[in-house]
Amino acid sequence: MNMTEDMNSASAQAAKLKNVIDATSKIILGKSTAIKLALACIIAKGHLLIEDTPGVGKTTLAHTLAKVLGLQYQRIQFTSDLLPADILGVSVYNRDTSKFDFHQGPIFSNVLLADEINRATPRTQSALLEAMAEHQVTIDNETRTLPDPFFVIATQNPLNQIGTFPLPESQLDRFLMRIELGYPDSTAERELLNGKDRKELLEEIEAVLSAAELIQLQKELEQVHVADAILDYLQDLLEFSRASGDYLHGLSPRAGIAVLSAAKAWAYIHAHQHVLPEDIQAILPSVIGHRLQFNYEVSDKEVLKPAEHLIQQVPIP
Amino acid sequence: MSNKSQLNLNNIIWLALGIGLASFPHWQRLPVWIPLLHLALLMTRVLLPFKLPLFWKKQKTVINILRLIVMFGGVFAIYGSYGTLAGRDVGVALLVMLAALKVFESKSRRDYYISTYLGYFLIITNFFYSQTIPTASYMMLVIVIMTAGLINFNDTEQQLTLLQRFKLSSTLLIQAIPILLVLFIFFPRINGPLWGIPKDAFTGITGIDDQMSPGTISKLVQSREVAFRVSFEGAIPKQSTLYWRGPVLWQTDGRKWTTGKNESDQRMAPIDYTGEPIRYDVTIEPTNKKWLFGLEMISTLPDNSYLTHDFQLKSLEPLRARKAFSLTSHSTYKLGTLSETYLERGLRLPETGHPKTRKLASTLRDEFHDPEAILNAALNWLEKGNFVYTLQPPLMTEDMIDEFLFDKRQGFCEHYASAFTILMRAAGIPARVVTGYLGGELNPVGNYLIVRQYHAHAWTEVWLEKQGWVRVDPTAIVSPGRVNEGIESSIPEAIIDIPLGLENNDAAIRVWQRLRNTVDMINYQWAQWVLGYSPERQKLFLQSLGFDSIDWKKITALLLFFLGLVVTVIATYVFKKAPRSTDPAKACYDVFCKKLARAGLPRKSHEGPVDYAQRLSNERAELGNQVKSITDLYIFVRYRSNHGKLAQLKKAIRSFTPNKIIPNQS
Repeated sequence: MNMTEDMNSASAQAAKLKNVIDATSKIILGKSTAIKLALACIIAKGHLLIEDTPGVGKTTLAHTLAKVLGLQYQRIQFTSDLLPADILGVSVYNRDTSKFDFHQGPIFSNVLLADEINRATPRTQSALLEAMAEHQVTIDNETRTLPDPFFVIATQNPLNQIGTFPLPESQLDRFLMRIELGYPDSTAERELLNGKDRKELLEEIEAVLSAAELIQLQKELEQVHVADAILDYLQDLLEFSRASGDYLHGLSPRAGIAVLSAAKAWAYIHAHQHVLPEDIQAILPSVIGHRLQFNYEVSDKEVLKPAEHLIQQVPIP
Repeated sequence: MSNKSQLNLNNIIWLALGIGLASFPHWQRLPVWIPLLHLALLMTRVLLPFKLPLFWKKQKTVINILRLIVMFGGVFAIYGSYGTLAGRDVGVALLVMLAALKVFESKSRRDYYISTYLGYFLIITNFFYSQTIPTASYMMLVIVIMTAGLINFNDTEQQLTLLQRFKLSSTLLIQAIPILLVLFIFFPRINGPLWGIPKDAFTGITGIDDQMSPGTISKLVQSREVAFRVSFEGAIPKQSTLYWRGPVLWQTDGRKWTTGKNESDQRMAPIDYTGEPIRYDVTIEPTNKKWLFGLEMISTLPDNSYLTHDFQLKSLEPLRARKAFSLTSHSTYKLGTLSETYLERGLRLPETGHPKTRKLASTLRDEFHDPEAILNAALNWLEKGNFVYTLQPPLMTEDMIDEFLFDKRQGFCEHYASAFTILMRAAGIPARVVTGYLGGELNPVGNYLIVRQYHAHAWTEVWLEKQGWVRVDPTAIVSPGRVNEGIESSIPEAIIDIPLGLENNDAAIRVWQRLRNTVDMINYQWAQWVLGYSPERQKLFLQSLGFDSIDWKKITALLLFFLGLVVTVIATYVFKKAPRSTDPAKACYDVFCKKLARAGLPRKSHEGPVDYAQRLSNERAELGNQVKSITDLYIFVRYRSNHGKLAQLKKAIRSFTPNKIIPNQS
């Protein structure tokens, strides 16, 4: 395989992904990085957590992605009285057959949009998170496999924490990425104000990819080359998070694996056949932002976020 | 691995190999059954448990009894062989036997370590016998093998290849060199070896002794062994003047000469030195005697030595190790007078015997009266007497002196010196026999003299009123060649040691001699600087470093200081995060970054190649293309792991010169 061949096959895939990004960008204005990160998360078979203040387009992004990717999706608004059965499904007695019929819950879909996940009780949260980890649910002693692809896009509101149940670190760890959207810049804002209603646009949008194509893309991710130099860099990052004393807890091996697969997806989206240090740096804040907390004594924390501090402190080998 | 885990075949082979090699040089010195037992124990341990695992497991009692029998039996047998359980040879014999027994009973991790430590100790014991360069090299090799065994033992996952183990083991040894040097240079020295070498260490050493009888010196002359080596500060004096003075013999029974008992009058004749001093360094091999050898007349003495009343240079301690010392001599000097009582002992003769000699002496005395004239007449008589200088004199049983002077007339230097001294005494001239060495073999490679045992010699000194003690060498009269050209011209070629088949090939002989001289020079340097690093030399060396008036406290402080320094340096090196194996592409890229850093565009340590290239082309648009192609190549080689383009990358970076562009810029 030579250099040009690499580029060609890569650019074919990149064209598909570019379509996805373009289509999504028509609805979510001025947020191409967030869109790319979300896409990378999905290609890396990870679950996505979108955290931001209300009204910046969290739910719209989740909806758009599900539609553009041509996936079947369900949405649940999490509330404190939501029960596990509301997500997973229930068995109902059928008088005609004298049997219990299983009624699938919303989780049996390709994409589950979990709005305001932190509003549900820990019991419900953990029912969802278990399904996320196992890709299957067990109800009435029967194990049911979830469709493929399956992923959860959850949103959460960092403000108004009254009456919420914040996800513990161990459960946050199940999300490959946590992204923030932030306010749009002035051009995007103006366009947003001038343009049509997002809900209408969302109705009009066409699927660019199919579920089968997405699975294909996820498989091709394995072909992205990871050189020893990259593994050295990744290990240096992990080692620093553990040994420097700047963080409350170091990154887990699972976090390391998450960084690597996200970086591969990031490289893949950019039509690279190999991972670069820049790819790791690009996805690092999203992948480890929710897994890493500063120790109380670090002076940098006023200025930098934990992941940025990590990037600046660890030289590229 | 727990303490109880069994040793496997691999471990045992390494252990047996190490112990076997460490004790190997001892085998020739031990009674033949000890090496055999040693080997048998090692072989049994290597083979039996793995060939007959069941027997080894089931018959524990048998093996334990066997072990006890070997141990007690061995100790008894060694006691039987040596008659004692103390001393160097016995100690080594016990150690060799018991080390093998320890390997034999080794089962656990702990046993392995103990056996290895025994092995390291065995290695040291070889230096009791030999301190030459080949011995030291061999022992280094054994240390490397033993350490490789230890590495193997701890490398339970078998991650290293055999070569890597040896490499690591050698590296460990090399890393020890700085510590070795500090300890060698600064460890407070004591005279002689650090630990007392047992008394029996010097059996079988040949050399000049405090007595002489016919055959003593002619026997010594059979030996090529080195007595001492001398390097002169200036030119080497003529062969005929190189009389190395040793024991002075006063007392005779007509056959055997001894130093005699201590007399009451021990006054030394005052010496008045004249003429040019000769300065030289002597490195003497261990003799277990106190004599040091120097040229007449010694004017400055080395430390811990003294000059006796008859000008023997003696050390305070017997020479148990090689010793190097510096001397100054004056070839011309004047001696003051001595008392009658002192000189009287130079006239003593056995009560009876040597009638013919006495008769000759009285004839001479009657005829000449003056001692000097008598001496000359006697020498004249010798010269004309058809005397033969030979290593194989005929057997003289009756009255040795008379038989030699008047009948056989064949003899070696000890015959001449002995007979001539008796003749002088009989003629009323005080005389004594002096033994020592004459001449020396020049080593042209190192420009020093090697004095071997076959240079041993004996001569006469007579007291002449006006001149003091005068050296008279009757051998010189009979065989001038011995004195002027050296012993080599007078003795059979057999001892000159030329390999068989080379006798008629002059070129080969020359090469052979040159080779031998080079080897001897290396040995000499080794002896002078390594083995001969005495307290005196240490003092001189430290003075040359600027440490004056050194005592053992200061030396210890220096030792600790430098030891600490070396350990700190090593520790810094070791505990510094081991650098990753540098990728050649990375090394190239570093050069690229360095060039840009010099041009004022350093890369941040966390900046990736693409980001850096982007920043560079933003700041220096004209560099853009070059930077991009280099960055692409670098990424391709390093992050795509395609090393085919490495050469191209190297070339591109070599021709990349951002510096040249800067002046245009500013």
